[in-house]
Amino acid sequence: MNEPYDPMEAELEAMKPHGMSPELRQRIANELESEVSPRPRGLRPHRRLWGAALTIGLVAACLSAVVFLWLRDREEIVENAPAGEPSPHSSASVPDDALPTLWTYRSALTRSPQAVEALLDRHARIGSRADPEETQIHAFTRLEVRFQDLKGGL
Amino acid sequence: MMRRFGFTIVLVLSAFLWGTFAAAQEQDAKADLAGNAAVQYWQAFALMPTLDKEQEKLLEQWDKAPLDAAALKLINASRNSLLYLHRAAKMPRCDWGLDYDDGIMLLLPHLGKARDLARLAALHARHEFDQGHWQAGIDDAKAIMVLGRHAGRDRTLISLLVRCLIEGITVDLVAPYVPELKAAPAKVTSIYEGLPAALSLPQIIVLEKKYMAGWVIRKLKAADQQKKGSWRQLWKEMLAMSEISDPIENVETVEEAAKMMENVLPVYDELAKMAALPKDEFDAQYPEFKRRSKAANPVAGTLLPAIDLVLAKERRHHARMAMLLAAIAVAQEGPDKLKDIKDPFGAGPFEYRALDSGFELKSKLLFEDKPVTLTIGQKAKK
Repeated sequence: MNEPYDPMEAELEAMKPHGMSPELRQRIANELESEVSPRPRGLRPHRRLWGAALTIGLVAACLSAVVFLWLRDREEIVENAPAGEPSPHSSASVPDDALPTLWTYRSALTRSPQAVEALLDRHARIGSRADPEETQIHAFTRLEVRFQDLKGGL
Repeated sequence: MMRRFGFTIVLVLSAFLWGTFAAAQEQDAKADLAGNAAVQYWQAFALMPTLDKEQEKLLEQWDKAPLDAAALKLINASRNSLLYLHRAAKMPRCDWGLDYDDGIMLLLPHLGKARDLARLAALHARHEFDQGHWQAGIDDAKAIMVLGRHAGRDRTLISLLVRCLIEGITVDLVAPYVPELKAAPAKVTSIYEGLPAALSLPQIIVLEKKYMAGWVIRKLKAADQQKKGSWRQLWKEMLAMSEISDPIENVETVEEAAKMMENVLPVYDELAKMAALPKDEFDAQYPEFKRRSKAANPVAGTLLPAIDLVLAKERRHHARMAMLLAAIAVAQEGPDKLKDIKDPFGAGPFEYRALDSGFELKSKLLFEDKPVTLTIGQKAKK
């Protein structure tokens, strides 16, 4: 049994794609042609782009090298930018006699050089380790002990 | 296809170039760190023995204390520190990593420790000399001298003072043993002249101007910007350690305070010039300069360094070191050799006085109203 005739189907069947316009045909032809026969050098934008990128890259590398060498050779003091907003890690603003600051020493110097020497003694003891005689610092202590054991066993 | 290939080539090339550059940079950074004597010194400091009261006294009197069991115990405990001291002394470059932007709050934790390390080395050297191990003692003395120069490389007056103190330890160490050392004067002079250069006082004053006075001005303005009026507290606290006169205490505005500080800056330049003067001229001009500066600007009296005190110490050290070098020549070639050596603080040579088993040299320089002298030989040993 045949299905009943559907007018919509008939309309769809009648639809056909348009043919390519002559302009589109020409554009595709031009494009295909350019793939086969290369353009003169000066007219290729991609190559120019690569050339520029490579040059910029090399110049940047050379500049970095020059800056690095300059920084490496520069001895003496590294001067930071002038202090503006104090950072959480910036030094204290208020002199503390217990700390070996320039100000503490300078103040002692106004009294006498001997006062500076006394401060140097005091500050030299800051942060000394707990028990030096008991602490033997060797990276391979355990290994050495085992090696001795091994030698003894041979 | 060709484009992709080209892109890959450029990418690989760039990566290679960057990789090579980064590797070179890393290697240089490692070499830089490894060539910095301060890294070795800090290891020496970390390994220094913690001293009890008796040992503190012993270290303070390292040149007089008997080399008994207690001294030997301390010498033994400082073995590892001295190992690192000697490693550091072989390096010409030393950077303590100070940040001068910390201004007057700049921390100088290495100075006190450097002096203690020098004293430990001197105690060790004394022990070596007493056993006749001359070369070991001389090596210690050389290492102490280099430590002094390295400690004094930073541009602060205190660093200069500590350099003099540490180098002075070498003078006290070597002087008693000069007749027995039989050191060749030319060799000693060459070692002395080969030491890392010492900074002069005028060089240091220029930096003090920038990082002391300049820092205070910046800090006051920054404090006021952060919280109106908070500069006042800072101003008073910063000057609290010195005598504060009324004009300083009664400053009304941050601008006024900053202006006072700015007026001090040219005085630093004058001070640097004054520090470069020959001794006699300095001595004649300094008291008037000090009085005039203080009267013109009360902050100058508070902030300016006491360069007369530092200069007095530096000159004394200079004279003692010159006498030690002269004494080494005299020990080898006899007292007549002194005719060829000029006292840096007099018109002629050092004065010579024979002792039982040594001699004494005297300079024309006065320190605390007494002539600076150096006793050479066993008589000086305690």
